[in-house]
Amino acid sequence: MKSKAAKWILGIVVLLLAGMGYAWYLWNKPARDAADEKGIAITAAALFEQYAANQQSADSLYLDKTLQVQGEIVKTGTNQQGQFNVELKTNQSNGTIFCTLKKQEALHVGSTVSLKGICKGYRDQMLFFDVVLVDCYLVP
Amino acid sequence: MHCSKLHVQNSVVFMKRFLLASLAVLLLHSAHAQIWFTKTGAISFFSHTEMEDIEAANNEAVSIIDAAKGEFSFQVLIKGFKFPKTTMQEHFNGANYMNSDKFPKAEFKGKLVKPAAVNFKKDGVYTAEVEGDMTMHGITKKMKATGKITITKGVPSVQATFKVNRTDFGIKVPSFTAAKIAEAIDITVQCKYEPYK
Repeated sequence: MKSKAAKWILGIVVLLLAGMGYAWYLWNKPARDAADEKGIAITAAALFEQYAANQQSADSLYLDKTLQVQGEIVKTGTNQQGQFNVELKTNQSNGTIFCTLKKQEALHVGSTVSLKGICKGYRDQMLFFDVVLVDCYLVP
Repeated sequence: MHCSKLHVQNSVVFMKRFLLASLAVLLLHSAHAQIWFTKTGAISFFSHTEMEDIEAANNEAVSIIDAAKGEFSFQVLIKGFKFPKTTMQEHFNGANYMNSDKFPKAEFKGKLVKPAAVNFKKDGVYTAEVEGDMTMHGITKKMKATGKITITKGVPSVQATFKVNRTDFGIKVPSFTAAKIAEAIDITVQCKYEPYK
């Protein structure tokens, strides 16, 4: 009798600990890092073309995925938080791939680079269009 | 013969004048076009309940101001909101909340209620009301918000904080988390613009 009760108690304690452990894991789950993921390799022009042609189907392929995009830098800038960003050239004059970088890099307009980051979707505001990548790394 | 030559000369002069005039009108027009934009607008939100405070920020909001018409537009990608905790971010994007796979962006398009309230050509701080359509989670609602428009050396920036009722946009959230997520969410917008050429 005694040992049966002890087994029950032990079982409950184990379950509780497992539950707490899982909750702890969820609470402290580390943020995603593009550096840890392989990334889908694509050119800036091809990525933009697919989004411009059909946003929904492009989203189903690329939204929230890690991408490694190659293209020529047409603009560089800094956001209000001091994060560095670059825009990559596409085949449409008012279309770019907009990339916010994880850290400052020595990047210049005119050079062709590969950037790895997480795709957050397509912005369309009449005057210009772009695909947004955040937390980007420069691929050497 | 002579007469028709004169006529041709006259029409050439006329053409030149016409072209010059059109050029002047074009230049004048572009100087007054006053289109401003940003691709790095900051939009954040804050939800306060007894149980939990939740905050998230997005630094890739697009915004365009057509100063001549007093029109404002903002667009933000839902997946781009960053939370301090990864699990919160996953919940926020999930089917029970923003369902961002299906509704990847939120948008606001509006106009100054009183166009004269802001003089884009004169440096200063203006408080103005903007009204228009807000779309998120697939639902469009009319709304009004008051913001601060600052013109510094001719360049505008916008700052606004307003409340949005998530239930107005059909964001119901499961009952076991409802106590942690406020119904009225504080939204803060901060944008610095550059001229559009």
